[in-house]
Amino acid sequence: MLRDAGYLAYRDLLYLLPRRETWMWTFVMPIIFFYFIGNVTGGFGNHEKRDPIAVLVPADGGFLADELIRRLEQRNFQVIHTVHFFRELRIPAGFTATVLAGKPVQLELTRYGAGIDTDYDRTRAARAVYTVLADLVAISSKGGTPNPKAFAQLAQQPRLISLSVTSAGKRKDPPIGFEQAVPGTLVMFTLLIMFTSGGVSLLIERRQGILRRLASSPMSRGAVVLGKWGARVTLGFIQIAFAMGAGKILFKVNWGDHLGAILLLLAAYASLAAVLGMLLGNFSTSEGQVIGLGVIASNVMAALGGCWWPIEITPRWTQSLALVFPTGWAMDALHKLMFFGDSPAAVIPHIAAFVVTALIAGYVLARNFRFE
Amino acid sequence: MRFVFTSAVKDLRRLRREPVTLLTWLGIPTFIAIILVVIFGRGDARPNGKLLIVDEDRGIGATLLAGAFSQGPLGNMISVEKVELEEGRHRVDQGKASALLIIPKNFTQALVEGQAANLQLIRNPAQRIMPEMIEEVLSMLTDGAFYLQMVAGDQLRKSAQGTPSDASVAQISVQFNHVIEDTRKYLAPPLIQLNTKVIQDKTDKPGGFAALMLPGMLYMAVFFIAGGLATDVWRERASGALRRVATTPASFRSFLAGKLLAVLVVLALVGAFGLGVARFLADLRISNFPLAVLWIAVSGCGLYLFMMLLQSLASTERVAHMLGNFVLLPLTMLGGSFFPFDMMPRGFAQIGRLTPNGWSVTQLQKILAGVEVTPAAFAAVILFVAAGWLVVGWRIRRTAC
Repeated sequence: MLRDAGYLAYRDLLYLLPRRETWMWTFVMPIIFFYFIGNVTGGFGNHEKRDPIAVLVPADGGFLADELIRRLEQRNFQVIHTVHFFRELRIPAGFTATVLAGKPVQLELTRYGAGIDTDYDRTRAARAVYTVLADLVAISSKGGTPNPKAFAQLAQQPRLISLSVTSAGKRKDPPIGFEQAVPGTLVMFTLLIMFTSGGVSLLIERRQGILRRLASSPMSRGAVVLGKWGARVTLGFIQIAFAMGAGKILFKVNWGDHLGAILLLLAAYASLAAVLGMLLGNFSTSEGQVIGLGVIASNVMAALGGCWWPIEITPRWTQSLALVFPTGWAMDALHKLMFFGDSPAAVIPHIAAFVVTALIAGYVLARNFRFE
Repeated sequence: MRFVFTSAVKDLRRLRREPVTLLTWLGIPTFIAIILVVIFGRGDARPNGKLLIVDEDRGIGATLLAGAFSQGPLGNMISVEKVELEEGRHRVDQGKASALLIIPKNFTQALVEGQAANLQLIRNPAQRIMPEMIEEVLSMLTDGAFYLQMVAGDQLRKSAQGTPSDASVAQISVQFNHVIEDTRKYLAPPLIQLNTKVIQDKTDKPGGFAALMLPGMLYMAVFFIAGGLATDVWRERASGALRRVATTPASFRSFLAGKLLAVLVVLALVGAFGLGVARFLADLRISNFPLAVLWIAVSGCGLYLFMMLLQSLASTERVAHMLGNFVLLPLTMLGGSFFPFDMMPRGFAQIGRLTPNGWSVTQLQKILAGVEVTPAAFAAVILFVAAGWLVVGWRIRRTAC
């Protein structure tokens, strides 16, 4: 049976690998997905990338305007001087002179679009503004004259109450940017492809009579199922391996110290996804069903498993619910290995869960495999 | 004209024989709406996190620090729990908290007497938003401690010295009063005030995060359905239906027009159902329900013709399927179906709005918000459908046999 399955998988791969569409899905689509989703979701908390803010400074803004700009840059803003920008701070004329004369001044922050990013911008800008005011108060309370030198001297004062920040786990440098987004994207992408393409291709083969001809061959049912699964999962492995390589080279993703464990984990995950995709293709009667059910299932599992958005923006009960889904297991395991630097032993339960579930699903598939 | 209706009825009857397919398509927006509403409710997406605090100080400074996270909006997002050091480290290393804050011994004394003290924050690397917020708040509090020392440090140190006499208490009170008086001109009201003006797009709608995501997700469903319906041409070819049409007096364009009519009906049904679910579950504001349904149906026909063109360019069904997915998935990503345009980087959003589905989503959002959609937009989609019908009709004729 194994020889038959191996032969079938080999022939399927020989058929699939040279095809342009296979190359597109294996080598082009993962990069597109990573680039897009990484850019959309990988920005928050990424201190490597500064957020541009247009600061409109009048000619007589004075040294307090310069101080404010310096504080904004400390808050990870990149100060530009464009008009009608979506994030804009307007400093009124005579800013410094008015403040030093003891008259109130209003700065206006204009932000297009609401949401958590806007709240974060508002907090950072407020901190920059009110620390300038606090410096003014501190200098005046000591009887000093507010001027650039006094501000510089105050900035040199040691901060006695300090805050040191480290990352949990064994990994020394915390993940940022694309490193945050790529694992979730990879998990979702693998599932989506195995469900839709893997399921539809089986359906097409059934319709074209390919499976019927296999049924009339000396190969056992189990060999056919195993062979078909083997081809799909091998292609999945190639895709995952390439995606990880592309992630490392193009997006500077650090996969951590346990690359072998990550590969094994993702291989087990792809195995389960391939079987589930084949189950979908087996029981569906049209491409529409496969695609519809595949889209629903993969989106639901990706959303609830924590692939789409930072899991902490969901209620606590959904954060627990994530572990019901294979996507949640995969994300939990990848976090342990990549973000916390845990040892490979920490993900043995996850790999075992994938393998056991794949075996059960494979058994169901083999028992109910439809050749026509 | 009769052949057009016959062709449409034929397709609708075939679809009726596959109720699972139709229910699945109706299920796409439903499930997604349910998921979004169940997870996020009808409000905005707000982070939820847990801050573990190891209080080695056991003084008022630590209490004030912990209390800062329980106030106002922060209190709704962050739950604070005091733990012992070992337990805290274990839990944060397991990813069971957003961050662990260790307040050292004699923190209160350091705060009052102007001595050095170091707060340690250990962040959960698997989370992004909550640890960042917690760090920002703590950083602001350390700023506050610095300025407090600058302004009233001497007074604080005096008040901390032993058991003060009545005269000392009076003197300290007067000094604090002087500090308050001196700072009043700067702080009450603040000499420098920051006003924030948030300009929401007219298409921003109430209903929170779920309502924000739903129009794009509905178009993802429409696009996938259009793609699924477009693959039907392979079944027609395999069954010989296309060859038979070629032998009749009716034109392929009439045949295709019938298919288009059937697609219009299906997408109108899906659009109506999806919008209904979105309105009921996610409180999506819909200013003009019939127009929105019509828009979804007509623009969906444009997407269907686009997918049909791709199908006609492929040599085999397998290639067609791969090609379809290769085009469909990036377009749905860029076109605001995976993430709303508001969440994308501006460059991506600008490009995304130019894609056929992205442009359709933008127009749909305008219709939902009650913003007037220009006649040019309607003309454009009708022209697109008409041009697609002509081109695809020609392609199917060429590849029918």
